[in-house]
Amino acid sequence: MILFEEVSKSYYTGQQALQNISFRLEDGEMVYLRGRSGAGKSSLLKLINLVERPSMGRIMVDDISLGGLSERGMQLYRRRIGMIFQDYRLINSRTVYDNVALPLVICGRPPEEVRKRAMASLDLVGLLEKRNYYPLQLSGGEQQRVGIARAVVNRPRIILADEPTGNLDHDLSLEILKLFLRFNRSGVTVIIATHDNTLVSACPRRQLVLESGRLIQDIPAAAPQAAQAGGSAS
Amino acid sequence: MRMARRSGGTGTFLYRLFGRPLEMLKSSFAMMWRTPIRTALTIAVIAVSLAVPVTLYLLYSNATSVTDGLHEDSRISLYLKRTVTEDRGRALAESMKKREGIKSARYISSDEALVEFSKTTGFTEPIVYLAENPLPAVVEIIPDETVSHSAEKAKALLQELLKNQLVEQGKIDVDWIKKLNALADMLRTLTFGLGVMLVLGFILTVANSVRIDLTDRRDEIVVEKLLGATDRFIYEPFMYASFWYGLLGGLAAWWVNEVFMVCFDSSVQELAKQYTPDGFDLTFLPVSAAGLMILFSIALSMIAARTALGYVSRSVEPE
Repeated sequence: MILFEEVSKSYYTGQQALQNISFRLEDGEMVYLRGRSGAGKSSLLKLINLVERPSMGRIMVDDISLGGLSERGMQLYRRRIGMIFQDYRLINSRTVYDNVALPLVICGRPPEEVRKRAMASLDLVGLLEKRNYYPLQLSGGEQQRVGIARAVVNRPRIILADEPTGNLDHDLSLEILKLFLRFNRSGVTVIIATHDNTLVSACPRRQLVLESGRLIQDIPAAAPQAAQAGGSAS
Repeated sequence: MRMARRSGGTGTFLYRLFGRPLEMLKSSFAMMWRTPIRTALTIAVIAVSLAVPVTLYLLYSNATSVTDGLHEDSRISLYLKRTVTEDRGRALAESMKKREGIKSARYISSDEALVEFSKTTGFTEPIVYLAENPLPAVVEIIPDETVSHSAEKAKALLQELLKNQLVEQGKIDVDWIKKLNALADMLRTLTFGLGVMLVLGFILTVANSVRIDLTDRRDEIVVEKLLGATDRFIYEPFMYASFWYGLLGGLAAWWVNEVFMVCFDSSVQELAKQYTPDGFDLTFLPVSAAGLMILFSIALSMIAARTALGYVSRSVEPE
């Protein structure tokens, strides 16, 4: 469960990124965060991943108040979140395999477990054959799939995707979307920040629509997902 | 959602204890290998920073061992009055031995003094023609270390000895002791001062190398932080790299020191032959001391790296 209670975020420059945001996501939901560039989608994801802290309000994830987490607690918390970026954020000096294995290495898993799970994750996104390639030797779609494999390798309960198809064409975007649906079906909560209408229309789910840092609409998913959606716009 | 999952088991424990450090040693070496010129320069600076003070200290030690021998030669000659008989002169020498600050005392009769003079100067013929032996009997005194290393104490001892009524006059050359001590002091101060400056240079070099390495890997560190890496995890490769810097720098310093000492040894031998047929055994850096130097180098390098990491990594945060 992810709960936002009257959350606001402003930066030291005075820019108000989010204003009075409240919503609730249940476990296993898949949600689109929609809005134009600068609407606050990325800021909202950063708050969930603790890259930023809210200026006001409270964020709860599985009954844990994120505001009260220590540095160490934050590090452990981030390990349970799968983060996917528009610009992939891959380490270009490391192979595809090393990139995917990184979250497990960070957790201190033994090499055998790292190998098995990284290979399984690469197999899941169809890049097992290219595990020894370097990211810059891959296409954009493939790099994003590496990013997805890295995000899911540690079996997160929540996946945050920030414009995951922003740099991809239509077909590749749908391919990536299928992966998200697959994870969601296995019970993972998926939040996708996007301004790509084709994704939403190809696979309708609950939508949180942001505009100028405000949550202006909470559109429930069409049946059968409608029954799962429990949030409401403030 | 559970905040932390414990990955237990003996395999994990053994991996963390041995496997991971071994991996880090390999990967940090590979990281350094990717920038060979920067790495070589850093190691070279470390080597020079360590080798210069260590070599200077060795030279100081060698010089001290030579001057210790010279101090033993800082004798006091007490010229006895002509009226003093040989028995009284010998008794005086015996009594001198018991005095504080005196290592040994030897009576040299005027005849023995003449023979010694003839031997050392080669003036045999002219002395034969003299009506009588012009040399007085002498009590030759070798002060102990407490006196021989201090010109003031040696002078004070001489003044004490001159009070004896059997003594006509006494002689000691204290100026050269002063000069020698001043020279040794200067060398010691120079070694210490240079050592401090070069060690500071060492620390700054390692810290700067780590800073550059960290800046180069900024994007990588941001990703690692986003994935939940601890500071320890992020610091690890840099700490292991600093271990390599320290180890390789220490070994290079030893090598530089040995090369210098070997070159210097041949010059010293040439010089020593002019004074003594036995030559002079230059003391090289003992293996145990070299080991300590390498350990010091590793420790200093890791401390420098840790300090730099603490400051620099704070500026690398996900945005």
